Amino acid sequence: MKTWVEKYRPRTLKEVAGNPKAIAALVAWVKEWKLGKPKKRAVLLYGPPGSGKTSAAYALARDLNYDYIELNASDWRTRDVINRIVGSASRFGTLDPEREKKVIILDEVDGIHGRAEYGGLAALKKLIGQSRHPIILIANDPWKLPADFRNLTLMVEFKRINQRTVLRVLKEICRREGIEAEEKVLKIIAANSNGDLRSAINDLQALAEGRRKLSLADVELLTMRDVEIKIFDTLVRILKTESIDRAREAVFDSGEEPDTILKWLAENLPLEYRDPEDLARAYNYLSRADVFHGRILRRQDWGLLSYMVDLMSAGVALAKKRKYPGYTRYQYPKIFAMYAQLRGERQSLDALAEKLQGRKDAHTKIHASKRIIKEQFIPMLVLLMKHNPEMAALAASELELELKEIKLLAGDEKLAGEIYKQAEEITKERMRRLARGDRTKQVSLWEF
Amino acid sequence: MKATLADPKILKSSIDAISNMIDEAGVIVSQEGIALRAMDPAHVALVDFKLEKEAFEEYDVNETLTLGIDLDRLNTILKRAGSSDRIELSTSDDGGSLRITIRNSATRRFDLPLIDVGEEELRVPQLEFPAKVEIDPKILSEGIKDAEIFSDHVTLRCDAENLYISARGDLGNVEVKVSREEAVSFEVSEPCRSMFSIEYLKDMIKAGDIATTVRINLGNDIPVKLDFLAPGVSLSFLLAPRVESE
Repeated sequence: MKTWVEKYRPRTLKEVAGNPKAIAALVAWVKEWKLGKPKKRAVLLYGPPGSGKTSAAYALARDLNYDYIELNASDWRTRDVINRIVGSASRFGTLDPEREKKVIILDEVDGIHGRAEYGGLAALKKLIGQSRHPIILIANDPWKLPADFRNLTLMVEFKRINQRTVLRVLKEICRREGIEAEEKVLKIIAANSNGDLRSAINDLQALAEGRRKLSLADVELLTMRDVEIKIFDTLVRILKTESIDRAREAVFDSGEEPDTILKWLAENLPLEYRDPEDLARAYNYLSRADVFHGRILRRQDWGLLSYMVDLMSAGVALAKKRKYPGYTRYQYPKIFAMYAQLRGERQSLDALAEKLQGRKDAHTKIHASKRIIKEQFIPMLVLLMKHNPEMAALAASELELELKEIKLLAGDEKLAGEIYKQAEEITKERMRRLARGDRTKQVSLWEF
Repeated sequence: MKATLADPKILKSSIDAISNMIDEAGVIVSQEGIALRAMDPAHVALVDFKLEKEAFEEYDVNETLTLGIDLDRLNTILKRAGSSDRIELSTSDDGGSLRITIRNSATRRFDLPLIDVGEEELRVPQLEFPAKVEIDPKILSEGIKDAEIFSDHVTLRCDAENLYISARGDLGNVEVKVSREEAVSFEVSEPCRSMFSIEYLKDMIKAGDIATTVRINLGNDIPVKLDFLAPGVSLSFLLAPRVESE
């Protein structure tokens, strides 16, 4: 399935929502190319996530009626690639001029990291200098790039998209998806997105996918799923990028605890990374992040947090050899449900221990602390339930256990039911005897 | 070892009485005879059984052995022996089994594998009984069957003149009286009573047909000791009472 972000990506520059100034600048630049060589061979589209940079780049290629080559952050550094792109045009001339027209799109240019990668930047400069093709560079934060590099490009700023525009796009998508959505719901999504159209569309898809209606009643669900939706965006940003910086930013931008994000990643990695090798590498990084998480908790050394975050974001993002396009329906981590269940079980065990202690009524049963009961008596009862149901029934009758308590101990519904039935029989028999006035009990020989 | 019984009844009845209460036990075979002492898993009953070598037609034992025996199995084997059969007990050649040979017109050989029994030191309660009454085992067994009509428990009571076997239930009451004169022997220093589970007593009185007399040792809310008396045999049961629960 396609993401709605891809499905409704604008086809022409005119369709790109918001940022009219930036679009006008691009249209002008396109004209320059059509007339011959422009002053700047490369544009640098910059601005916050979801402001339309990528959409504008592809729309531009289409407006020019050019093919496009998309290069990854890691691609342009290799000499081969540069030769292929620059060289092919210069060395072989053009047999079919129309086919030679290509736009080169470089995403995540600011994701260049460390000294070693400045070589990449140098290669990129060379590419810009020689290219016969329009080059579109995309960056979140252009100020990370050296000034001389920036000067080679035509810088076009994209701003956050205003809420009204976001709302308009959401409405249009709803109309085309055949979803009846109350305006209020869409407004909340738009407001939540903070001018990030991509995340707004992702939010909408996460909420509305597979539904016909999105009503005000879902607003509650929305606020409830607010965290979930936010985390969806975080996951998308980590799993779809190949940039170290983007991945790390995704964690920092998210209001969620890194630990929570880690569990979401652990749950959803296999849905996203379909190549087993990518998956193995990603899990390896994730497990290392988890090791650091453990150390942080044990030593309360929050200085280690950045290692955890780097491993789980950048590590996981760069674990893949290629990008996986398409929409992934992320799932709520099962481990949280397990935690909740364990918590419930722990509480029930506590309650059971208290009951066995017999504090609540005068009929004292086990004269021991709750800890001792939990450590010694309850495991014994568990074994009894499994290996000696008759004895367990006797114990259950004596301790006046209820069905749900027997279930907790036996761990098996059917077995628990049988034991409970037997225990009831035993209790009834005892009551009968009591009613008959038999107040005697068998004592053992040890008492003499 | 090798021991031959001309009359299998003593062994058959004793094991029949014991095996229902006690599943497995270490049987000690010595120069004096064969002995078994064990407590039931609920620690309510204790059995002390001795078959002296005089009871055997032939008894050839030079050492003391403890044989772990599944009494239930042994009981089913012994039930296969008729009253005119001769029973020969020995250990199998490899020493891993008890060999029971039943001889009559044919020779039937059973090998019962020995089992590991933990050697549990039994503490036998030391009790003073104010009443010691000897009666025909049939009277006791009939009395208990009478009591069973109305209850699961039976009360044994003694005063200076009589022994009473009684039970009460919501459907009715029963009392069996055995007077001083009807008893074989009657020694009661003070009146006393205790209540017991019929379930256990019913097993114990199966041993009645080996003896002409059973001695009932009774006190107040203490265990009862039943001694079945026969020449060459000593079979005693100690049974804990039922007491008033608060």
